Amino acid sequence: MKAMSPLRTYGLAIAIFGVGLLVFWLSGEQEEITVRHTYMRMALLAAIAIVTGFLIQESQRQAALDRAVYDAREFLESIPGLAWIVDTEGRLTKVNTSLRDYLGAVDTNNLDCRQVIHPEDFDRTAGLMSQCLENGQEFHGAYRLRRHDGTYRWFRVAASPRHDRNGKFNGWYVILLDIDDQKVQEEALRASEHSVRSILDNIPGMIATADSQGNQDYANKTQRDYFGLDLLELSGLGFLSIIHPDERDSVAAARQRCIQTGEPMDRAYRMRRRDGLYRWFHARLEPIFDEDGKVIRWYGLFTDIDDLKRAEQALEAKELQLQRLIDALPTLVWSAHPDGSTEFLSRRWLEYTGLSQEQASDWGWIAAIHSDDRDRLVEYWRSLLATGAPGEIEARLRRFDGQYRWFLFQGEPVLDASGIVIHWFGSNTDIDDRKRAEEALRARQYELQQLVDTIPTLVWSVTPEGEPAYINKQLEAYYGRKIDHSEPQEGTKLDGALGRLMHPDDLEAVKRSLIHSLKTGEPFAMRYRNRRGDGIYRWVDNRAQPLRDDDGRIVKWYGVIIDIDDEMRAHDIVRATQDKLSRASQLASLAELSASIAHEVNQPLAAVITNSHACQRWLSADPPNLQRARITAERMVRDSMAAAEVVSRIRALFKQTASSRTSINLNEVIGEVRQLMFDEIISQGIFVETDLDAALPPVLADRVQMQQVLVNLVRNGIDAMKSTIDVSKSLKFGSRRHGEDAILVDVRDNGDGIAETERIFDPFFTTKAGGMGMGLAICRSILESHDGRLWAENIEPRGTMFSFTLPIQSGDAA
Amino acid sequence: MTQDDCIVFIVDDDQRICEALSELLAARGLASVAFNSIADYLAFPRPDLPGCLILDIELPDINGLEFQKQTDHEQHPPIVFITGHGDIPSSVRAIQRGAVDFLTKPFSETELMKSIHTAIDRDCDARLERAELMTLKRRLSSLTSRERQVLPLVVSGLLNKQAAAELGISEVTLQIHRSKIMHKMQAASLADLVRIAERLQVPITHSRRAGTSSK
Repeated sequence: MKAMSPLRTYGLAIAIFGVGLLVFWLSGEQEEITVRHTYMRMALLAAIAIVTGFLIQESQRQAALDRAVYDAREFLESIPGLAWIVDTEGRLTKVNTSLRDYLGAVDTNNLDCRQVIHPEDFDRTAGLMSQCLENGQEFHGAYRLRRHDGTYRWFRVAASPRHDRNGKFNGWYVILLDIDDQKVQEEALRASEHSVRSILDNIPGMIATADSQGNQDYANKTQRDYFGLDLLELSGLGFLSIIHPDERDSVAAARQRCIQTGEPMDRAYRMRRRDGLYRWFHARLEPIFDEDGKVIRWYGLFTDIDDLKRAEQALEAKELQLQRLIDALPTLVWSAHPDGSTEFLSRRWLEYTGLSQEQASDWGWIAAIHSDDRDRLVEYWRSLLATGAPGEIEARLRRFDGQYRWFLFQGEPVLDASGIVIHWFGSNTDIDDRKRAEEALRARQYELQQLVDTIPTLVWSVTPEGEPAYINKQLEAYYGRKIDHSEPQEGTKLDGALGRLMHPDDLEAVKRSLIHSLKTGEPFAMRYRNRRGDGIYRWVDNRAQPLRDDDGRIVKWYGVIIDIDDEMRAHDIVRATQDKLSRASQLASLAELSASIAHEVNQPLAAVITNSHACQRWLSADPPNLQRARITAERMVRDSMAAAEVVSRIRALFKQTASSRTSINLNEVIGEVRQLMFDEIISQGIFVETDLDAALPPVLADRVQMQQVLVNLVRNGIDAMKSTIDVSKSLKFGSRRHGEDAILVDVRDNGDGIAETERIFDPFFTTKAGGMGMGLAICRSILESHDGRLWAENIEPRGTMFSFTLPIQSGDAA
Repeated sequence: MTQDDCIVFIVDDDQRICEALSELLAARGLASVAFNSIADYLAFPRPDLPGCLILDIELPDINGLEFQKQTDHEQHPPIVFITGHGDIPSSVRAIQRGAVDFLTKPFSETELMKSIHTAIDRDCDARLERAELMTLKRRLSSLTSRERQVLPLVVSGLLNKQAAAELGISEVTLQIHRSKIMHKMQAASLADLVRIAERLQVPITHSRRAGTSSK
């Protein structure tokens, strides 16, 4: 039971007695007196009991107090610390032995405590003490106390204010505990903590701690500075506000999971900086467990990985771009290990070959190489691998559909700093089309070269400056030497070449003309005498044209030289023959016609006249021989009829033409006619073909007449093609054996054909404006006089074929 | 001229002409044989009579002019050419080679007959001359070889003495040879002998004046 103050004890007893009196008095009118007395007694007894109790208690207390004073003194002396009591002036009123010992042999009574407290500490604590005093609080603090040897030691101080009985403050109870050693340790600790703290604050990472529930309770300076927030705002779920909205939910979920399971967290997310900018952090949270395995705390380290992340992202983007680039490249990209095995194959590569990554891995890609190229390619590849030199090779690569196409395989080594190959990068480029084009081009070039060298024409070319550039084989053979480009020349090479190759009389004119052409670009064309390899001068026709580029600049001159010496010589002969023939063939139609008509008509006419004379004779005889006269008269009638018939059948008139027949080869005649008609044929742009039987047997025929027939047929053909414009005009001569005893010659044109293949042979039938209609009639009569036949037929697809047969010459050809 | 002792040959590939000509000649009392080709004509055994050949130029086997070129002018009867269309060069050539005429059909009877008669006359003359020559040749062939040696010397006009010297014989011997020659050759005089020798184309090899052998 708690001791009651005497005042309150007496008060309580009086109060109870008072209540008894009051009840007694108040209940006097209603209750009976006895009852009232009872109440009175009860209140009195209670008051006595209380006072008695109090007195007992008070005495007990006095005894206890005495003992307490003793105890307190003993206690004061025995506490393992220094204790003193100071008055309000700061003078020591009581000290314990320990303190006295500490202070040394100093009279402690009325010793001013300021003398023993370190001045710095006194000043520091004075304010605090007075504040405590005002508030009626105990003072707790620490200060240094001077020991007897003059050194100060730290003491922990606890002071409680002291009051007198009236409650007036009259000093302090002070207990001092020597904490100097502890203080030193503390100092060291503090310094260490400070240092740790400054480390924590200064490391360029954010460090935080949190309690087991994840409420942050520490943030280092970096973090604080970074977020510009205080711990309060970060604790609980507050930290979520600084996480980038994109990652907020996932981070919250992860945090929750960590708290529940105690698993560490290790993830990257963005957090908002004080300026509102989000940066990437790598957050790593580790729990600390107690002995029971329960999470006590969380330690977190946040590392700013924004730059890294950005670099990573940039790298990723770059890689993606690179990947896209590789995939977009119209070539098959690959990389290989230094040993040549596959490292990487682009999507295109795989798609193209149809091989899977697995199939193509290591050396599997070899399967896609054409078997003919495989060994060569592998050997080459190994040589590259061995030497580390870049290289390229062409080979055929199989497409997914099995088709092989030519590719250019290019490989490039990638070296490290020490020059060791660490990768091979390569590409396969489809060059199939190019290859084919190249091959075609090469073939074409070869063909052209062959053509130029083979055509029986002399071909040359010079540069725009006139330097000899090329001569074909024929020209080389013609000159009997090569034009040596390196041969030292006086003046230009052209001069030298011209001087050597030209007849001196023509040299100046040719040079002038050539220089003129080179200067003006006008085509060069000249006939002059050229010196052949054997030293003989021969007439040539030299023509050259410039080849111009798109801008009209002359790139080269190309020329052909045609040896026309034989022609020049033959020209006069040919011309004479031609003149003769043309005259003959023009006259022939008329003269021959008239002669034939004359002959054919005159024959029966002569018979008629002769008979008439005979008739006259018989009649005028004596006696007249009527018998014979009648016979002659009959003959006259008959022959006159025959003459009349001749007129109606003019064709028959041509039967008996005089001819000088010799054994001739129609092929030769065809050749002659071609020669004779050459100009006419060429001027009409007609292409002549021949299909002649080399073993054509000779026939007995009049050469000139055969020429006439063929000239006629050729003219006919030329005329028939006059209006031909849609196809190239062609004239074809054919000769062959016809049966056992005849030959057949035909002349085909591709003109418009003829409507009436038989009537054209009728005399005076003509389809031409200027024609007399006798040509073919005469031709037929000539052939019939040679026991041959002449006919015409239309041929497919267009044109006419004239054919004639002639009997093969035999012993008794008549 | 008689109509019976001559013959006309006709070669024309036109049978009508052959008939008409034969008829006309018959009417004129001339014998004729007609052929359609030279081959037929040549195959025919010609009677030894004066005559002529009427020849067409255009013939199936050989040209008339060509045939003319090949014939022996001495022996062959004269030729009259007939042609359907005569040209001047041909006719000139034909005439030069001895053709009597070159008639262009149709020809008149007069023309023809004139030509035929001319031809036959010419043939008669030729035949006569030929006969005479034959006689002379016969006579010449009767000479001995020595006489044949003497003859040219005599007709050359050498004196007997010169001729004898030439042959290395006596003048007397020469004279005997000479008289024999005169007799055998039936020469009336030396001049006659010279004429005969000329016709026989005995070469005159020596000249009296030169006295030496020369050409």
